[in-house]
Amino acid sequence: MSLDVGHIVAELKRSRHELSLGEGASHVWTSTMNLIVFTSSRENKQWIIERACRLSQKHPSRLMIFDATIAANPVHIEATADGAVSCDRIELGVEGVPAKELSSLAEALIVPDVPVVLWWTDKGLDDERFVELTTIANNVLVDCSGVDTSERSIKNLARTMAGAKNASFRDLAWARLSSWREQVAHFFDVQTYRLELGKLKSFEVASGSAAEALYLAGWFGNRLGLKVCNRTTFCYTDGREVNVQHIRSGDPRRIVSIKVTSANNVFSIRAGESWDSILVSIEGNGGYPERVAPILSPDNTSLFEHAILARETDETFEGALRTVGELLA
Amino acid sequence: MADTAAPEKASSQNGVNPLRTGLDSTRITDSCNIVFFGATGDLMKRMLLPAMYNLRLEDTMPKNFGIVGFSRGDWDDDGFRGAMKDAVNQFSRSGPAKDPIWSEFASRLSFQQCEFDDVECYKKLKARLEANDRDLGTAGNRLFYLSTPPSLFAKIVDMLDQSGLGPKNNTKGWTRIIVEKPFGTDLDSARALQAEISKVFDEKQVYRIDHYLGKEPVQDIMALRFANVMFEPLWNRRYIDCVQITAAETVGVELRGGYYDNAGALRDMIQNHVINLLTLVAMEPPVSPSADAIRDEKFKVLSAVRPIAMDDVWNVSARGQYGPGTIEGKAVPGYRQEPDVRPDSNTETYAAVRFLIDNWRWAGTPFYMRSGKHLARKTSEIAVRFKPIPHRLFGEAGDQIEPNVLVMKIQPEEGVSLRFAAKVPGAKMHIRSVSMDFNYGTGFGVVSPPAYERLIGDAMRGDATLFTRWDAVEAAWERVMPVLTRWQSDIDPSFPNYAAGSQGPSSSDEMLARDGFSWRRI
Repeated sequence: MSLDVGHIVAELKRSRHELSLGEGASHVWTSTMNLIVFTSSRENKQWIIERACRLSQKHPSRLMIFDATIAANPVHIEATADGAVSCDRIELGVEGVPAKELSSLAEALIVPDVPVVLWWTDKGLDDERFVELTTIANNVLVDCSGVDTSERSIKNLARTMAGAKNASFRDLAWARLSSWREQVAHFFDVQTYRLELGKLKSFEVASGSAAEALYLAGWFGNRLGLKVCNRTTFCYTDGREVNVQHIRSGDPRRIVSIKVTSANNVFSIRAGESWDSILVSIEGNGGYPERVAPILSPDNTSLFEHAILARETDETFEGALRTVGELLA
Repeated sequence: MADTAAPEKASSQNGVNPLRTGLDSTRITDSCNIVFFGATGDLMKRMLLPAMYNLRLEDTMPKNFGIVGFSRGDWDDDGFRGAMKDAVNQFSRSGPAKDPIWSEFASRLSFQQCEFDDVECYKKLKARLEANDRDLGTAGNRLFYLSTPPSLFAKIVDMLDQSGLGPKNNTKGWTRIIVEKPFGTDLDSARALQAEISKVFDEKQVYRIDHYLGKEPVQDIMALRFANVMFEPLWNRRYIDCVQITAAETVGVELRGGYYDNAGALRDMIQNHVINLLTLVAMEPPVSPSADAIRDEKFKVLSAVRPIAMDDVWNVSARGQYGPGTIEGKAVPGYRQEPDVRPDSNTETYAAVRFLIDNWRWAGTPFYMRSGKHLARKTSEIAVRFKPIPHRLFGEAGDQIEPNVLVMKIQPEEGVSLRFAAKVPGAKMHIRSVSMDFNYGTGFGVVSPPAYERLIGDAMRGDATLFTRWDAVEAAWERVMPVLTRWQSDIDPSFPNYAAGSQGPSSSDEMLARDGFSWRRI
């Protein structure tokens, strides 16, 4: 067998017909999206496929799973229905399939008029297949610290995004940082401290993987209009420098601490003993000792869902990623 | 790459925090004190304090806040904290209270033991709130939540004024008040309550809760109507034959017999929740998403609802009371056998009313509303039935060509369904109805916060969109008063007149049959 579109579509129709004869007949199919999932990890693929199926059960979808651990063949083609929620599941082995053929195959199977979401679970964001599939996607979802704790994935993502015209990108590594960014921003809701943003000395993140630290730094610098002078330095327009430092510490995908130092204060956040709390403090003028505060650590499920539902470009994310690209250039 | 504004400029310009841009944050930024009157009551334990804790857990609460429980109960601060921890353990959707967040949260809870009519006590409350301003940084902002029996609302408002806790005396921050439903038990009592409240609070400071409005699916109605262009041209009397709004429950009164026997289905559900659904379906598109723009349209459509003449009440309404029956396979007693219900009670557990709206959009289109306890199925929905085809071109002789129906499902399932006619494949021109059902699945990913978390958070933010304004409350009471008056004065000898687990009383079916309609099956 090979990956023949006609055969795949016929198989899907046959499956729908069988379903319509069974309980819950007279089914009308609806779709909210095409969800394309690419995996090449034997270790993680079951987890990935299970998450994708559950996601498409909540959001009626045509789900296409491209499994690069299996030779080019249909693996599983099925129309399913859970009550009134319907889902097409097309699982294909795509090992060895060239990039352009893969995107052409996906394009032929797409349900028109609904968005195409690409969930790329592999680490190779410089993979030609990734680049090709992004050309047919409206939303691209990756996780730069999912399987790779180095800078490589985020660097490649920055490059790919720069060249992509149509898709909006989402990275779970960025999405995990929402609460931390919120805590950092919250320091500067107070006018007195906000003035310190013009007198920064350093920005330091301790984390177990690179992507989170880079995103935080990229976001911070981009939002404040700081220029990238080199890999470890932002500069104000008048040439004053802000040191940027990443300390590798703790588990992947987890932040250990964030420290923002200015002329008059040190703003600190560090992870608490429990996963849902942090300790925040401000040293210096008008500061306060460490206090407990909650931190939201949404599970991957919630992050996926939020990412696939977001349609518009996240300019804050893309700005941060552009700055990361400059830091890593 | 860099933004053009120099950071010094960006950070001090008009108090804007540049780091907030693009942050999808629901954080409430105003520090405040929240005082819960009736803090030892059931609502506080089951809903309100768990909601506050969950807002804290989700980091939505402002950095500085204080919570004060106010009640006659014999507690001190520690006793209150202990009781609230038990409440969270039992009723919070996030599970038992977790340290260190719970301990930090609990440190902001305090209790004021008080009689509700003791002004000296309210002065102690004032001192406590001022201490919180100093120690907790609550900045003079105050939110008062009235979760006491409604008979105490006016007294509490008066005491707030007398003790200097009213908004006129607050020069440091804002003062708001949340009032639980029911807002009055009839039109006169509602007006009397409003008169008392408005002596102390401006309308913009008053937040009348209808927790139905905080439910996600109810907000979906606005999305369906105003995020799709295709429905609007059809959304009027020319194409819509009738609208049926149903809020059906399978439960009975359970342990609320004491309250319910003085209320009934008309007051408990129709006057507030169901009429609110009517406004969402029938209103004109608002000019903006602001609270007042939306509430203006709701009031406008309510003002156009035709008053019911007293001698027309029996034609346009129906009431019922459940007798013994079977629900989901289990035998249940009748209403009059429930705890705290009078054995000869005339209270209705089922109410149905027909309204007409006299405006260009809806003239002649009936809006049927029903709500009841111990009915066949739990369902809340709005069914828009379109007119039948004007001329039949297709279909074999025996085919029934049913009108199109668009159903907005609120609970237990959320979604939309559309019934339309399609040709059955084959040589003959058989036409059949098909239901195109769209439901989001459940149990995966983002969960909507319960209504109270949304509503209390909105009140703290000063967003009144999901709260009811006085003019709409008054208009709703005016519309139901003729029905309420007749029902109260006439004993219904047929009670109980529907079996628990059934579709409701036959008089309700007769009401629609007179107009040539029938109820959708519950």
